[in-house]
Amino acid sequence: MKISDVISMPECHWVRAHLIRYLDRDPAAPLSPEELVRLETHIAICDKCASISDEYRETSKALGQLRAHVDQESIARLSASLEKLTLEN
Amino acid sequence: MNKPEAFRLFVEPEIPVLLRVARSLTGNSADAEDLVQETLIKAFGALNNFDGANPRAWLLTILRNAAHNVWRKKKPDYVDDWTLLPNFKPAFNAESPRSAEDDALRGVVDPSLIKAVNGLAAEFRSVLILVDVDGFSYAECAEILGIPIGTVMSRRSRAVAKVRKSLQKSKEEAVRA
Repeated sequence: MKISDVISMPECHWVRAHLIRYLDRDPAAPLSPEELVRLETHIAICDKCASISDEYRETSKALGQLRAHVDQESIARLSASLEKLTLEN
Repeated sequence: MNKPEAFRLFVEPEIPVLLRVARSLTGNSADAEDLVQETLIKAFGALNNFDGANPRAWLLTILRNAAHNVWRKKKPDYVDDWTLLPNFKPAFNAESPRSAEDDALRGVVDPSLIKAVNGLAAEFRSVLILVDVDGFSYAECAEILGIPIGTVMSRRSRAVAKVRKSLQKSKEEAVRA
């Protein structure tokens, strides 16, 4: 391990703790502009954190492929049932 | 527009979302349809309490409560698990029907990813599936599971880190083999 690696370790820890929020960009958990700059600056110079960021992104993309098929017939039956429910009342 | 008409207008577009979540909760399409049906009836009965602000969140809360209060009473052997993933092993060796979509997924999804997700504790797996697989926001995920958004964030963060480690381990094992 190089000395520069040891020096950057606390920053790596901070970046990894905030990485998911950075990648998700969910409106419920935004990073502040200062946090964004801090994170992106570190990822630009740290190969390990950049690599972890890529792996998280790929994992999330792969998980998206598992989205369940929603049966169109089920939707049609429930829509008909909803119509009946609202017309009867 | 009268109330029943407004109800239908708000609720009908949410049926596919409700079905996806219900399928996650029940593990199969037939039971999911029953759960959504139950949710629609309960929601219609509670229409006077709805402020019109966020129909999806309101419906998801009713669905979650219906799943807890009604569904589990009918199925005492129900395991709090998520059964959307290919290669899922049903409890008690029961056979679960496989769809063409399931078969297609088996061909394109890395088996080590499935293994990694199935290896997570239920509370981590549920957040990962709702956010990454089903595409729900943190707020919607919190609503479905009845937990704070902060808990969603921390569980999701830990879940992704665990999946990454598991995938890394699988890669190393593949190299050694």
